[in-house]
Amino acid sequence: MNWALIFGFTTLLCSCAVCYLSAKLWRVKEQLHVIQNALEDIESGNVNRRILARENDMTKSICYSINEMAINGQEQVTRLKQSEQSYKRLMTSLSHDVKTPLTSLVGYLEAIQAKIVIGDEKEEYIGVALDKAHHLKDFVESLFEWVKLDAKEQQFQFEICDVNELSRDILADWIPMLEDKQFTYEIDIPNIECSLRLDRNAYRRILNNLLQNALLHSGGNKVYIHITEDDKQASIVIADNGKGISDKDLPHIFERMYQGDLSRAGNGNGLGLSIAWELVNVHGGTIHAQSPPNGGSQIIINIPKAL
Amino acid sequence: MNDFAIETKQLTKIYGAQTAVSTVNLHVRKGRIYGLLGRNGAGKTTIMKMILGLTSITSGEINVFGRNIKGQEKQVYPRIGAIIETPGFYPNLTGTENLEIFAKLRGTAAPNAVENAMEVVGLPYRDKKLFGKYSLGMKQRLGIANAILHDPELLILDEPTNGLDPIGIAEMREFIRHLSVERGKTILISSHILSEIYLLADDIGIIDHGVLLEESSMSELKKKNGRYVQLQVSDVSKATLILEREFHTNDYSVQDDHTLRLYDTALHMGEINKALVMQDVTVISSALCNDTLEDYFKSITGGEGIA
Amino acid sequence: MLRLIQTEFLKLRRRKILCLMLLASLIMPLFALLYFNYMGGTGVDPARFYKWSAFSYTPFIILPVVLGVLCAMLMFEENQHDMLKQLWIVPISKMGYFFSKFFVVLIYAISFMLITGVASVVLSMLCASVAFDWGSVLYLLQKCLEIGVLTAFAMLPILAIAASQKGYVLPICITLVYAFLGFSLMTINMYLHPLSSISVIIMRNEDIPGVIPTQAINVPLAFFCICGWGIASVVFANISLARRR
Repeated sequence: MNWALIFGFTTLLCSCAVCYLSAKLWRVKEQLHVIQNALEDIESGNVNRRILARENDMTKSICYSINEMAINGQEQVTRLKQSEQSYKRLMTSLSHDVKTPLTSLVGYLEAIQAKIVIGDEKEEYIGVALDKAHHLKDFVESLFEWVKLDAKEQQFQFEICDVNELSRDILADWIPMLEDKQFTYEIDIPNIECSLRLDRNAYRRILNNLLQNALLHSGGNKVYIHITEDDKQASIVIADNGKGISDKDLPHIFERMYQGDLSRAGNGNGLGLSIAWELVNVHGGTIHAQSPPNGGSQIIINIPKAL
Repeated sequence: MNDFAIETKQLTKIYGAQTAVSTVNLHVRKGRIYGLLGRNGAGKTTIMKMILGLTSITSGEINVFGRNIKGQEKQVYPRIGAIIETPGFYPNLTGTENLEIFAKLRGTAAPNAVENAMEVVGLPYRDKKLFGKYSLGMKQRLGIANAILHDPELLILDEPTNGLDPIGIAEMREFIRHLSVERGKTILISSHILSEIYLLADDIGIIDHGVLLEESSMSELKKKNGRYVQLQVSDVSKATLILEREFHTNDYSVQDDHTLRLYDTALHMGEINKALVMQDVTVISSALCNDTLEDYFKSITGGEGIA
Repeated sequence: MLRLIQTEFLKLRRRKILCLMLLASLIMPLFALLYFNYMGGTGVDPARFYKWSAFSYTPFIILPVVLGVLCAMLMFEENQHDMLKQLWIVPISKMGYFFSKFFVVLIYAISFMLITGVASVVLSMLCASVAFDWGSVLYLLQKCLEIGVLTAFAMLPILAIAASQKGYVLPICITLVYAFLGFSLMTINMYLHPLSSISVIIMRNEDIPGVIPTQAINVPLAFFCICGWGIASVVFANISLARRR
């Protein structure tokens, strides 16, 4: 009786073990099949393919390594695609945004050459043509800057510096220009140190672009600059009392070349904000625009604090 | 190789006497964001459910990654991540525990997949907060985290911005675009909001009363969109000069050597034509383009527009 | 399959009601303690105490009702929170899902009966009038295990009904009817109902004092009854889960 019991028990244990092992073997076989399929897929160019492995799969580490390789391949593809796209954008931009001012410049110069205009009017034409040429030059310069940023080719030198002091320095240069354009200003920068990891030139460029935008395209006569900080980030707010941004345009204004209908009439080139956006991104920060109900527009930059 | 991640052929779903989806031929191209636009109840969710095998197909077939999904569920579904309607989770578990259950069931593509997924959507890893106590926004984020947990090639997102605040919607949009651009994912997204699809999608399908009315790429649509007068003239530089000097506008762009677009549609076209002709500029044609996307959608949905 | 069962248990974390329901296993042992204390006397056969504490209403009414509620809860939980579609797209098989739920019920039934058994032993020791011997303890634990395992199988029809329903009210009502039907069919034909078939298997050696079967003991027929109902409900669950999509 006892022997029979022990025998039965051992058989039960053995058959359990056999079942477990054959299930395991079956799973490995199944996994190998999946791996083979996935490898064929990856080989044919689908670098997005992943192989899923469970916690106690024997093939787990192999699967994870294959995935790693696929991810690396995919990153390379992404980089290639991005630079290809920047190139394409450069081409479209050159063909559209350069052509228009260039055509009109030619129009003026032809009129002068054909002697259609004489005297004071001729001088005026030359002035307009020169303005246009300058504008075109600025535009091409910012275009190249933007393309470099877009293709992530520009090098940055990050250092820990005091954003309050740096901003004051930059604004000091702007004050004569603001007064020249009859703008009043309100600057509220705390007198304490606020260390951020910044590229000085890039930060200067961001502020310059935003201020220039407020000066040339807002249509207002007052700018406000506030800097506040909390324990995570510093916020730089640049606001004006101009015509504001319509709700329809708000989501697009940082998109390259997007210009609100009204600013197309001016000589804004739409790149300033895009460059600012790219540069803020490089700092790991965010930038967004608001149109407060009492008029004007507000651009808010948040840059995380250095750790 | 087949370029479509999802392709449906004459897909039809009939509930009793009601036809929910009628002979739909959908083509979702690899690596792109496909926006399925339609009002609530137009059949968007039903199509997605059929793709995921959550509801039966009345007739027609669905190919995912170039294969008919029928009988291939075990090979195909691990490569898809999805959110259908509002995602449900176990309220008695924390977010991390919920994801761990799915990681265990499905397998993962990398070690610490759960931690990564939580981090990507901005939820704290190993937080003590139970899912039952989550806010709607957090629930939606956890749904996304679950959808990307296994790093799938294809994401099917049914109204992912439902119930999110405007900032959440913008973040979600940014995130979806990031998945597509940087990670090369194919994304099928549905929405009843035109602007959302407009901002996000590369391709668009418009569905109404279960019928796919139109399928085209966004860039194609954007070309049709605009409010301008297209002028074909013999000499564009002279024409721009006339516009600037006599009509004081520079709201135009030069398309090519003989074409320019005038965006300031308030100007009197007759006078412009007259002025151009007076100064020896031949006007070959002038056409008013007055299409906005909304008008366009209204025209294809039979005047009802899309909410 | 193993991972499905594993995750089933993970899902039950922090469900206090499950522990509370386990407490129902103490009802009959406590009742037996009171009864035998009241009766007084000494040297009562422990088997008689155990008959009261473990073999009377526990297997017939309490355990089936508790398990029925558990089945309804297990199935209802995922329906209520709209989880099923997330599970189907993992994908997991319908039958794997059903059997992982069944496994939870099985483990729960076994632990329920073990608690009953242990409580009976402890309380019988507290009760001065009941004698104690190791032989009857082993006998009790063996019977408890048998009851636990068999009752879990007998609950398959309820689990299948719970799987086919969105709500929990109907499965629980059916559970009550099912349990009482099992009890009342005892006197008519023991081989019609899985629950009464269990009692046939339990008293196959006619070693439970004071219970006299109304029909001849036929263990294979009882097993056949349980298996028949079990297979029928698995088929039913398979069809209804497939149609629920």
